[in-house]
Amino acid sequence: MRDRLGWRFWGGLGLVALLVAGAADYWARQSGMRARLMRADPDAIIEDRVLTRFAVVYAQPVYDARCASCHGDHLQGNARAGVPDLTRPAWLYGEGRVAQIEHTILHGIRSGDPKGWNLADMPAFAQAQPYKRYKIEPLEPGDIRDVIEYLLVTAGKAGDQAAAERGQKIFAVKGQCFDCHSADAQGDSAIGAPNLIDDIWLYGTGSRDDIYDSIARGRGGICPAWAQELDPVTIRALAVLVYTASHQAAPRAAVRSPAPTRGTEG
Amino acid sequence: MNVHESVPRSGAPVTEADSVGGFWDFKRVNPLRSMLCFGVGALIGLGIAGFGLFTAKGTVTHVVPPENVALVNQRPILRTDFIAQTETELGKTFAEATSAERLKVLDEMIREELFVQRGLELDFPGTDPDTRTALVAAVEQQVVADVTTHQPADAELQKYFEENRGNYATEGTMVLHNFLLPKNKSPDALAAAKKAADALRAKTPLAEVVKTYGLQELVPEHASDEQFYFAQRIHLGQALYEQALALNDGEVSEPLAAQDGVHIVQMVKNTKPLPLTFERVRSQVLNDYVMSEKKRLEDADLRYLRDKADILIADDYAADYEKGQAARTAEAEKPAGQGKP
Repeated sequence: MRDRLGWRFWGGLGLVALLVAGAADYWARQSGMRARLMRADPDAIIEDRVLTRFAVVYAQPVYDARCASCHGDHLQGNARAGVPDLTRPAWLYGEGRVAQIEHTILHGIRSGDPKGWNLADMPAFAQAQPYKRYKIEPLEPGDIRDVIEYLLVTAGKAGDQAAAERGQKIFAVKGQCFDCHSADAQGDSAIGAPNLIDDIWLYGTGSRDDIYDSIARGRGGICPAWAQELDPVTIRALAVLVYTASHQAAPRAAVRSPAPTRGTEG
Repeated sequence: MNVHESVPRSGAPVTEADSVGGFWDFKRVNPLRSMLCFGVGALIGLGIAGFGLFTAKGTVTHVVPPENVALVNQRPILRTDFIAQTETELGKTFAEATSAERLKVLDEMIREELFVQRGLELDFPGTDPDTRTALVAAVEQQVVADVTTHQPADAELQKYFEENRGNYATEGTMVLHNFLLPKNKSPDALAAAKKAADALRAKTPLAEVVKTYGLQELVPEHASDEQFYFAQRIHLGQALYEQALALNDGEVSEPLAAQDGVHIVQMVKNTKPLPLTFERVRSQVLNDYVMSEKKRLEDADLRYLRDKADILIADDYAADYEKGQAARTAEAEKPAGQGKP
């Protein structure tokens, strides 16, 4: 009896020791990978497949819990809400390097964080005071329609040529649109001013009504600053996840099972 | 301890003197030894607590955590900040920066951190205007962090949209003729203007009415025919704008006497604002909702800070200040959406 009890005791103790050792090993490996992830040059992480894989798996639950409610279950965004599609390598801020994505997640866009992207908003040109930051003259309804024709014609679409010519002048002078969107309407990623002629639309589908709404009512989407909410490792892993999703044909196919019909609640 | 061992083999009853051992007899209980151990333990505990309390330095680490590039007096310099600083300062990517360049930037950041810490010791945040502004912004951000990181459900947004429907409509526009009959053109300008208005209502050709009654059409400089409501309000003035607002296409207003003469408005096209659907303005509703929640939280936080603060106002301002505060509090406690169109 004493022998059998002893065998059970020592066997159980051995099993517990094995489990503890396994858990310690797992923890040590995870800790090591997290340290590697943080110590790596962020833009070079993508060249390390093991590290990239670790980051994507690490970030996935956090993405589902914190980001999917806006950006969608598959990072596809929502053009009605002005949430960008992160599966396309087209970037409003910066060139989409991991370091830049990480900075955006950390400090946000119009989040109130002093290190965030807070340089400009789209003025509401159909209001008496279109812009809060400094004085800009409002536009007239016809001016707005002319600018829309200018953008469509410049993008190679069908439009009213005479109105487009008038619109070009408004774009360059009266509306001061060039100031943010640059003279060729191709935007400026240093301040988050979108390219207006590449047929990628943050709000809507690029219809005349959608463009009218943007010019008349203004835009100024917000991305929260996560620096106070998430730890640095998670934020870097999220940046790698977003980068990876934007640079592969079938985003997240390697790390996720098929999409549910309705998204995970954030 | 085995209890049976303390029972004498003779079976005689155990007395208290029998069960108490000597000080060094660890097989038996000794109250003096117990009390001494208790006392020594308590003294050691108090000693450790006292040392910790009076020489407090917080948790000290001699290993730099992986997310930091340096610790300066235990305050971290984040790698992300280091990377951003390097790229901003050098104008190239972090990968392109040489080791020497990176070290130079790191040294500058350490220098900055040392100066910041010294500035805190000297209480510069309390006196330097820029630092105070930055502090206010940082506290505001911290207060509203939950709002910006919490994505409201569509039901919440829909409710906000319903409560503030007046804010979500297309912009009204007008195309109109604004005629003026100057005071000096006719001894009874108002009567003449009434006749002119009647003539316009009777579809008399515009040119003829203008010529017959000596009307002048006022056209704003550099403006096209179609104008947003806000622009027409500026051009017409509030009284005439309110008359114009009520006109449908083709209608003519009653003459309105003003300082420069009598005005008549003929409405060519009045495109009234149309309510927009929730789907179309969802992004704007979200922004407005977030802003209103931020405001609510900031107000609540400020009330809390005021309540726990000891604020003394000089006699010459105290009464007025209290009145202002009461009014602001009443305004803040109004239900959401009240007083909005």
